[in-house]
Amino acid sequence: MSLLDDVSIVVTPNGYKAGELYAVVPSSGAADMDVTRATAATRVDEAGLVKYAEIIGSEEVTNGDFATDSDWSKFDGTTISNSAINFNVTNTGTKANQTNVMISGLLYKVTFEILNYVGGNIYMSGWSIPLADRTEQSNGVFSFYAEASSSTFTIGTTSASTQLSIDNVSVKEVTRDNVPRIDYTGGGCPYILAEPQRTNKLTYSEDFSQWNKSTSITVEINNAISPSGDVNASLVTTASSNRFIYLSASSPANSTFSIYAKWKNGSGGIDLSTDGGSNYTSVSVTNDWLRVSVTPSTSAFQCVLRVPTGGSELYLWGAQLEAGYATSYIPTSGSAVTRNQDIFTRDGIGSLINSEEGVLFLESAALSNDGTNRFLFISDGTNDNGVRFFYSTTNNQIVSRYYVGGVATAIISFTLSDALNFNKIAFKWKENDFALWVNGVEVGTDSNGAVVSSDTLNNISLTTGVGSSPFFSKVKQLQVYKTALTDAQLTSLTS
Amino acid sequence: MNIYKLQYTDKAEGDADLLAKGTYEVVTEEGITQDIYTNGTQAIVFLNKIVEIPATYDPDGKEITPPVYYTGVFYDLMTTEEFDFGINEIFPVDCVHSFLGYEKNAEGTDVDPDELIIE
Repeated sequence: MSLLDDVSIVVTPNGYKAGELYAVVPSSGAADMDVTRATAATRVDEAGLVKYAEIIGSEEVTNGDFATDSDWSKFDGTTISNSAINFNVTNTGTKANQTNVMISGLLYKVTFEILNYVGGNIYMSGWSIPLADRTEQSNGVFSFYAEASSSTFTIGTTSASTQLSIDNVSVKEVTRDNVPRIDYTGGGCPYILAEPQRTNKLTYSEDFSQWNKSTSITVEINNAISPSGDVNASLVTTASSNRFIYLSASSPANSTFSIYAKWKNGSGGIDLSTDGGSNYTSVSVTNDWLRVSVTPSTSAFQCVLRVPTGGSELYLWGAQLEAGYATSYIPTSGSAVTRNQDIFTRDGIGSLINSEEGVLFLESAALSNDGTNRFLFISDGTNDNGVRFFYSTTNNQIVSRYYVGGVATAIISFTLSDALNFNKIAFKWKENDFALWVNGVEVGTDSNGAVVSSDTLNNISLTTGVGSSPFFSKVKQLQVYKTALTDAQLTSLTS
Repeated sequence: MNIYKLQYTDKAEGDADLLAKGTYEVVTEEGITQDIYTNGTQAIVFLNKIVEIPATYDPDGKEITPPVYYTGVFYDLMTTEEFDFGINEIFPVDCVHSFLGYEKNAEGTDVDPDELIIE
């Protein structure tokens, strides 16, 4: 018999939609996790790029490949032929449009291909931010995100000598709020990312032309491909040694200043400071993109990046100043921006949890030894009953407890060699038979303790039983068993 | 989603008003006291003071003139609920903070996500 025959809940990096992460087991969807994070958030995608976690909806444009001369209203000589819409005009104002494509106020991803480009400019209207004078002036596939201000999608020309064709027009709704993050940082198997609320205090995270500069240093924006895969990295060039750029932003002690950096022409380290250059920390930079960071113990008021060597060329992207350890990148463009915390919960699953005996299995890594408790509960929706597992305020320590009526009937703690690495952890509960297993080894037992009565526990949440102190972590696997597995099974499960 | 821009005399006054309105609770778990969002609160961001006139610096980054701040301290609140903050609610035209996925000056009730990113 396989262990999988006994498991009642399996949650891994899996399919998802906005507000929900699908459980692998049960296949009915009964244990799908509810996801709450009312803002957008970024993650490292399967291609290794820093992108928003988002859901792309279905196609909203009809006949976007222009297979037939239909569905589009054409004006002033615009034609559809040869599977494209063609602009060859001597006057401005030519256009084509399609109605009932968008819903005003929603975010969309627009993709299109320019063919047979000879000259001129196009515009697209129907968006809250003017998109006149699109900059695309060559053949190729282009895309952008924008919020709709109209239901009508329009493509037109802005110059009297525009000659080009457009094909493969696509408009798809984009959802980012409450989308769970499956993160591929480091390659290999992905994990579910649960992070705390953070604010990027640096108001220009990508446009380094907005940063202040010392003499003998130049900044050229949109110069190279950044870790996002887009051409929005800046190039910093120094004419003499110890030249710097800086931006003011305040943040409490132990804040992290991070930035993606890569040499174009240079070697060695660069210097980072959060106190206006009074104290620098050197960080290594290579010819590949690295996210470098410093976390001084003093409060931050001005982030400075100094290049020690004159004649250097350095690519930069994605600067961030946040209170605490470094978390996922938060883009900014003119104001500080807050990403809300990730919360995962599921209630009403009493049939999948055996209150009297079972096993919680977890393969996870803490985000930091930050001196806080971060909880995972199997409970009755209170803090009084059930399984309480957490990374504790003590560095690298995990704690597993079982509660009956607000009283801990079993307490087993263990110090991991490194909580920031992925560890396979199992907590077994059964009356007078509790055990904690880590990476194939039983590390603690408690043979004297009661359990709650049957059908009490019905909730699993990556928070306390009342929604506080979330389990900020990286999670590769979360499983719940309805039986107290044998030692052999627990060895196998956690090895 | 509702986003409120709030101004108070100081942090003590702001924290007390937000607590009194039920936007968060102070909870002690495992000996750790934390502020926990309640009643639909998605985020409370304490912005502290906001610069009205930026400081000026010389080419080497040394301050020539100090910054001038607006009066009081500021908060941004994101919540699913509606509140009446009275004179503490403000309506700035050039905000210094936003929530990821929402436009820079988003405030008020039923705010929709907004983003413009050229790929």
